[in-house]
This record gives sequence, structure tokens and C-alpha cells, in this order.
Amino acid sequence: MRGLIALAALGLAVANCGGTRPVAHHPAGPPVTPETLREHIDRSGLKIEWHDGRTGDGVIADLAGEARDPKTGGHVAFELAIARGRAHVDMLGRSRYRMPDTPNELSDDVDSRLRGVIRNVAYATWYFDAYDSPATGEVSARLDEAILSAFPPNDAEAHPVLKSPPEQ
Amino acid sequence: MKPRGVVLLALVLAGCGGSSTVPPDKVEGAIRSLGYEVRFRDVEQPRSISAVAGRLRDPKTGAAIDFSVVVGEGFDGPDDEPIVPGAGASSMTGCAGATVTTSSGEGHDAADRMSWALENAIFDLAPEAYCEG
Repeated sequence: MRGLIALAALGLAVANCGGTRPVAHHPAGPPVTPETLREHIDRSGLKIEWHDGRTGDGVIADLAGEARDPKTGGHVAFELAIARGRAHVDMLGRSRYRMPDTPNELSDDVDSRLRGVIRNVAYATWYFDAYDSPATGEVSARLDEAILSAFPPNDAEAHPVLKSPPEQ
Repeated sequence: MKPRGVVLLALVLAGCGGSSTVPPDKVEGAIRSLGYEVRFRDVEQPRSISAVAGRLRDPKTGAAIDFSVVVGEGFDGPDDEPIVPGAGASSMTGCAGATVTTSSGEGHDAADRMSWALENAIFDLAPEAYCEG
């Protein structure tokens, strides 16, 4: 009897009721080039003022600047550090815009956000009218869409095209 | 140790004894249970976390939001989180070992309701955690 109970206990432990433990998953796909990314941002319909940052340490281009919608006054600053391989957010901080001490930092009415990484691009944004301006939110959304549109439409890391998430 | 103790210990070790954290393998089901159309992205995830991202669309209203759900104690900030388009000035909520990020979406009131529904569905997976809705 004790043997059976111990066996059942072992079975439960192996089955792991708490859920399967995630394993690493790295989506495949070609890197985006700085030229393509800049072209798509320029075509976003936003007024772009470029203030690129410095390259080096694995960063082949640092596209930075300010995006505005002259009609609404919406205004966002951004930095995109482009790596040869997979990017990391610690590649950011090469432009004129100060990196936040925390991923989402609000200081002096500037809301700084480390947005994350997509393939070979690390991304950060700065909002100068931090108190939830719809115009700024709209500019930010259009800038995001322009960046993701630089990846091909069938690229599943950039676009929601899968019926199920990939197996881990 | 008595047999009952052995079983209890095994249950705890197996993660059956409580749900104070969001179980990663229940996230996709919770998202599908919302009844919205859903499409996923193929996002990067390190070994220690589980991340899903994609777009929800309500066929009744036409409203749509982009989202990500990141689960795991190894979550290490923006390097581990998929970029959610449109979410730069929008919602990010963390609780019970999970972080849900949503865009403000198209159709604002309906999109807000979709965001709340998604957050509730995810955090309801951890009923023993106190997650404010």
C-alpha cells in the first residue's frame, strides 16, 4: 500500500500540476536593416526630426529622433538601437535622450519607457506631456506600427498571423 | 513520514497545492475563453519565462487590441517582454507572477473592456493571489 502511495506521489510530481516549465524559444527570421526601418518611419505620415545616436559595441545603427503630428501636437521621442544579431535593451542609451533608471520612469513630466526588443532592434520612447494625452498616444501607436511594418507581413514575430502560439 | 504526508508533500512540490501564481500552460486557454478572435505572434522567450503576444478582435464591435502576457519568476524586464504596438502610453498590469500589457486599441470603450476582460481572465488563474481589478 505504501509503495502504491509513493508511486502515485511520484507520478504527481512528474506530471507537475503547476504547469509545464517553459523552455527557451527563439523565433527565426531575417534582421531588419537600418535603411528599411528609417524608410518605414519616414513614410509613417508623422513629421520626423532625426537625431541619430552613436554606433559601436555591436550596434550598427542608432536611429533616434522625434516624431510629431503637426495637426494634433502629439509628440514622441524615440531611440532604436539596431544590432547585427539579437538586440538587448542595454544597447540603448546612445542618443541625446536620457535612459530611464527603471523601465517605466516618470520624472520632470517626461515618461520614459523601455519598450523592449524585437529581433535585432531595441526600442525606447519618451513622452513629454506625460499625463495621458490622446494625441501623444496616437503618435506613439503610429510610430510603433511603422516600426513593425518594416518586417515582412508574414513575419510572425512582428505580426499576429498564427492561430496558436508556437510550441515551446 | 506517513503516506498522507508523502502525498501532500508531492502535491506541494508538483504545484497542485495552490494557485497564487498564474500557471503558464493555462494562459492560452484563458485567452481563448474570452470569445474574441485571436491571432498570436511568435515571440522570443528565455528559458525561465513564458510569453504570449498577439491581437484580440471583437467581431461584434470591430474593436481590437494588441496584447502580451508574460509569466514566470525569471521575468527580467523589457528584454523579456514582447513589444506591444500602441502600448507605449497604455496599460501594463503585473500580479501573481504575470504581466499583462495591452494597447489602447481601435474603438476605445470597447477596447478598454477587452483589456479588462483579458486582465481578469489571466489573473483569475491565480485565485489565491490578491490582484486588484
